[in-house]
Amino acid sequence: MRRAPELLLVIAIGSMGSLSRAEQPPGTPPLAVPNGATLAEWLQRADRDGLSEDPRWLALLHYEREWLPPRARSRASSPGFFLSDTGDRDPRAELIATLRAFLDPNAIVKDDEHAQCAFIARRHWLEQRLDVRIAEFVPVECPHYERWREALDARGLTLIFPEGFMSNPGSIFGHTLLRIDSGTEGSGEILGYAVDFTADAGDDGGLEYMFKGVTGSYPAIFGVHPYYEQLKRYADWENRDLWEYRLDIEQSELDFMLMHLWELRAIEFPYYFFTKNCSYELLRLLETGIVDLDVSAGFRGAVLPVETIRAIVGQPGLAEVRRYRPSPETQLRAASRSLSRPDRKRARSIAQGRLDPADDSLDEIPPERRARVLDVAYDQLRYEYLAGQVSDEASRGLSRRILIARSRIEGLAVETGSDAVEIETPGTSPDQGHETSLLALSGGWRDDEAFIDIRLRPALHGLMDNSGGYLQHTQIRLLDTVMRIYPESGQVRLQELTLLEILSLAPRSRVFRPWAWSVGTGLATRRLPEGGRLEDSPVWATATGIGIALDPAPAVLLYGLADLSLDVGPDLEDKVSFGPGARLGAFFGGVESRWKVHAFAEVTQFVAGDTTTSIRAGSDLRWITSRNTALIVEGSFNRSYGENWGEGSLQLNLHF
Amino acid sequence: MKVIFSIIALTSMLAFVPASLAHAKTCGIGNRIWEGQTGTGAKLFQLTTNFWTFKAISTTFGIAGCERGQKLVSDAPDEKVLHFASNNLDRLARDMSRGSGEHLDALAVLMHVRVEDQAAFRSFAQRNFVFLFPHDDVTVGEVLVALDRLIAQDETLSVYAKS
Repeated sequence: MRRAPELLLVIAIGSMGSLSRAEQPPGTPPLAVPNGATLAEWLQRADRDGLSEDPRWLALLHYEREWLPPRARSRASSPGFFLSDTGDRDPRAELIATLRAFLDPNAIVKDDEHAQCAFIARRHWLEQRLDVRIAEFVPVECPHYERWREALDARGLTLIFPEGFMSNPGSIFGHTLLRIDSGTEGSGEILGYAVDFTADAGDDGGLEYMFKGVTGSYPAIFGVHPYYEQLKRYADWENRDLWEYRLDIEQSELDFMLMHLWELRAIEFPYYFFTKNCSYELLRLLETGIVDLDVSAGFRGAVLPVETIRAIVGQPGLAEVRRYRPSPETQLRAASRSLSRPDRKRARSIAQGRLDPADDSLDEIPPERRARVLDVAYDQLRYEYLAGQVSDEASRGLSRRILIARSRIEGLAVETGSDAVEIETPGTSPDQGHETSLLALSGGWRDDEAFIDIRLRPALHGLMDNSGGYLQHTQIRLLDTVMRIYPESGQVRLQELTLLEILSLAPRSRVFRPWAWSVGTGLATRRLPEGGRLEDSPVWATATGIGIALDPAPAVLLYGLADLSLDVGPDLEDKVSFGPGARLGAFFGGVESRWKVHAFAEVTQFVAGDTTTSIRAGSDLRWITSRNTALIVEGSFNRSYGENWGEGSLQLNLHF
Repeated sequence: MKVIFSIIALTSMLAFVPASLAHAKTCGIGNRIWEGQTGTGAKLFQLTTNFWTFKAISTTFGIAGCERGQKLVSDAPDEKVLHFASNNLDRLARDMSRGSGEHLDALAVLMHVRVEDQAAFRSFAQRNFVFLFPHDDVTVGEVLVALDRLIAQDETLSVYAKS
């Protein structure tokens, strides 16, 4: 499987207080093996069958092939994970030490556990491959593991994808976790346990945090938490929609994966934001359980969470059932829309404390409608409280009064877990969205000169791209690179190399009041006057903007932003150009629509350094031809240094 | 080349990270999971979890319930109820007032309410809402004690009472 060098940036933090215990060197004294003959026989068999080089054994030890220098090494950095001093680079030595410890009644290695318990997946696997019952030679009970396993009561496994979270750059690409589903009947899903892989960045920030994140200096461990805690974080606090992919996994596979998870507790791995991150390690964990699953090897460069989801969904029959879990914000938006205008107004008045939830005027509307008004009022208040817009004191009493009024309307929705408003599942799930990398070819004219553009963008999504499965109204361009060729003159130039641009146009309403914002930096081309005409010149352009977006109708998005631009370049007067700007625009076309139109106008008043007024206005028209292909026609009017010119192009987009 | 690209991109990206966000937990909620924590359910009652101050609750008792990382997932049902209710009191209040919802159903599961009694449990919770949440500063302990006391008096549901 081919993967482009997309990037992932994920960080996690937590106290690592208790980990030191596990890092003590394992207590494996030189053994007087009581079962020396047995050990020798087992080793002979292991060597005959090549067990120490078996992919499964290497997976249990988290070995990975490294290229520079070429060698195989374990990614685990806790010495406690190995019973041999050379176990992290010599799988045979570790196999020998493991069997040796299993046969030693005194091999207490970790948390007062015998080696057979601390490495219970290894024991299970070796028993199968050697066709022996190790406990027959050295009987060991594993009460801690047994209690843990019983409490988990694992019967199923679900892969979870929380969508991107724009307020934290470390989260913009989304995240993955696994959920262990128990055998509990009924709607016990939120009682399952979530498994994740998180790093500890301590109190670091700024440059230190950057550097350590790239170089794998943060230790990360696997964690298990109640799923409802994760829901609070991702859904309630961050308002991220979640997608849950139920995995079709054999009970024996699940059990073995959990045995290995038990071995991994408090075991540290270096965390790399882009490559060996949470999504990658969860794939590796899945691979230890699911026998024929081999997808992680396909990820050579950066690992984007959504790509690991696609890799799993791409396995026939593995993830057939997907479920959409809308965030409280999504639910509230839908519930709010379903109310009539007067009811919406009532709900708002109640949430703002201007209308008593037990007011007589509310008794005049039918109970079903009254219930929905109170539901929306409460959810709105809760949303505003979580967003920090309402104080604890202000919300507490009011919340309770709303709920008391609501509790007096009985006998409505008592169906299992039903919320009053059904939320429509988006027609395209994240795994079905376009592939993350873009190759675009376009041909066009600037004034009367023809050009050809070749664009390569490793990640992730533009506002004119097919938006199904992606965070709506959000553009993330990473390493967007354009080579421009002028066939007539034979000139070739690097027209653009945007390191990163993020544009978030979340629409505002009376309840939801996000700012629209953008940041971006990278190499750009500016036309500068030289010898009486405009010449292309490279500048390093950095811009940021803030404003608002509105969605007055379902498939319409309007926006306006105020910007600040700073260009630095060799041909600029004083090498620099700085000034405020503004942009206005409108998008027409819904999520599922093939057609989309974007009309825009932007002006920048460069007031310092190289001064001029730059204007650009025009429109794009997009037509989606398939999931990964689209045609875009663009035309614009431009003005700089008093000169006007037009530009037009036809672009073919291919996501891959 | 790819590595250089990655570093440049990361650098530019992280330049936008405010210090406060850099400390946010981004890939998972934290690492207290396997940590041995001392404490029992009784201790949770002392948290005096206010009705709306669920933001402050961060203990992960559901996983680490006792010393030295031995009991890594709580297997005491009462402790599970307590941990769940402490974490989700506002959600529970919402569901109870409506007589429906995923969190209310999960509470029923934790209290071992049989499937055929769950409808009764939902409407019971709605009917008794005002008694379960009698004042603005009610704590999770008070809610659970009241729930147990009221359930004990209910014809259908009294079998699920602890007291």
